[in-house]
Amino acid sequence: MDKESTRLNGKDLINVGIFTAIISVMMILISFIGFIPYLMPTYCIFMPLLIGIPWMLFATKVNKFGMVLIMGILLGIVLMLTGMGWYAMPLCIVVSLIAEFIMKSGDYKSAKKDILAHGIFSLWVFGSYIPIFLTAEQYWADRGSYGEEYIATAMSIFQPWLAPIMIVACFVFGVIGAWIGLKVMKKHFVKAGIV
Amino acid sequence: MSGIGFGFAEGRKADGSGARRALLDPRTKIALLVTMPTVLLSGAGGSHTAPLAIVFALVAAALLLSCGNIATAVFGILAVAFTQALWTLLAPLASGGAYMSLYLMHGIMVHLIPCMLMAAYAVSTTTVSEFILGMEKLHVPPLITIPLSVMFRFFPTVIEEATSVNDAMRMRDIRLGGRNVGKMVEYRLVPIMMSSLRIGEELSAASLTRGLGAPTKRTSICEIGFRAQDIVVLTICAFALVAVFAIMFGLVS
Repeated sequence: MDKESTRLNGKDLINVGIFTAIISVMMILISFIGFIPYLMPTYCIFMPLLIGIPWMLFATKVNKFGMVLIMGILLGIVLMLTGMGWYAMPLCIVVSLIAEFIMKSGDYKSAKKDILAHGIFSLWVFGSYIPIFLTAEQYWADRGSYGEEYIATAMSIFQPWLAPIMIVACFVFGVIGAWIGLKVMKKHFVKAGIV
Repeated sequence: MSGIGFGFAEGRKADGSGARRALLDPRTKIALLVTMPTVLLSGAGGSHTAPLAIVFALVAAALLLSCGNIATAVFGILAVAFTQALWTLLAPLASGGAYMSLYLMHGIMVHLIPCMLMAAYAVSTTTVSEFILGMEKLHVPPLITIPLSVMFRFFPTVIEEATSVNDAMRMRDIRLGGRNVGKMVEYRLVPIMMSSLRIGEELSAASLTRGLGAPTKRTSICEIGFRAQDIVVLTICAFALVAVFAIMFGLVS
């Protein structure tokens, strides 16, 4: 390939922006279920599951190195601006880089690799939980004014053993979501001639 | 890319009318947008951030007043004051579930509203040109700046499309609790993505004609630069960040 076709051009960058906007809006809408503390861990199910649909469509637009990585960085910025903390940023960069390499290994054409890549990419959802697990003691100690009951509820939900389960859930539902995305895409977008 | 701003402010027109120079430098607004959620929403400073929330709410409201958005400023301040008053008066009396819902309401309102006010101010007073110029001066590569400005430009579009698709689907009884719950997601997401992509294609074509992605250095007629008001706001941001980090690492209790 010559240099021109491997460099990201304006159209690619605009595509990244559009899809990150769609994914961010979905993320913000889904995160409203977290107002009920018991449902907060279910982000790991709903976000990867639903975001699989735009992801597969995005994957058809990706054909150069860097697009997934830029999307990861943008998602990190959105998470930071919506107050999920800066812990999510390094995680977003790492998982999007891994996803990028997986897709590159399939030359950006393999649907199976796209699905697997979404499983890895979905681990960004875990980013907003990092402070809850890593600094659990201090996290809840700072919140003494929350009242005993709230802390007891929250701590009973976020047990340390939940962390690996949530990470696995992100991956599994990411793969399922992308698989559903592939079905939806074949049903609608291929027929409509968009892909 | 100026002028097509939907969420962004309108750019300066060719005859010199339109947006005048904003009160704050775009870089100052970016600093505020990063500082406020970090201090108020991420929970880094624990319960000590309550006074900072009030300070930031006042800063955001003052900025909104300065650009003539009086309604939003007054609403924001009243909402924060009302919730704060309710919390101070009722919290010692409540217990159990009532205390928890009161706590949640207070926490969300007092910390979220200043951020929303600030976002409203930043987006409504910054043109795409100013934003890109500010990012350039911060040495952010165009690989990040272009998708980022497209993303901010696209938020209102996606939400608008989602609202109209939502209305159409409600008419067909495809909604939560309706008869076709299973199809709810598919029948909403697919049309939203289709129309977003179409709008995106047009946006790409329009931007490329305007020289986006051209290999030369971008020029701009926007005047940006730090002035006294920027220094004041940046000092507040720096103070808040230092305070929060000091609390977080246990230097101050």
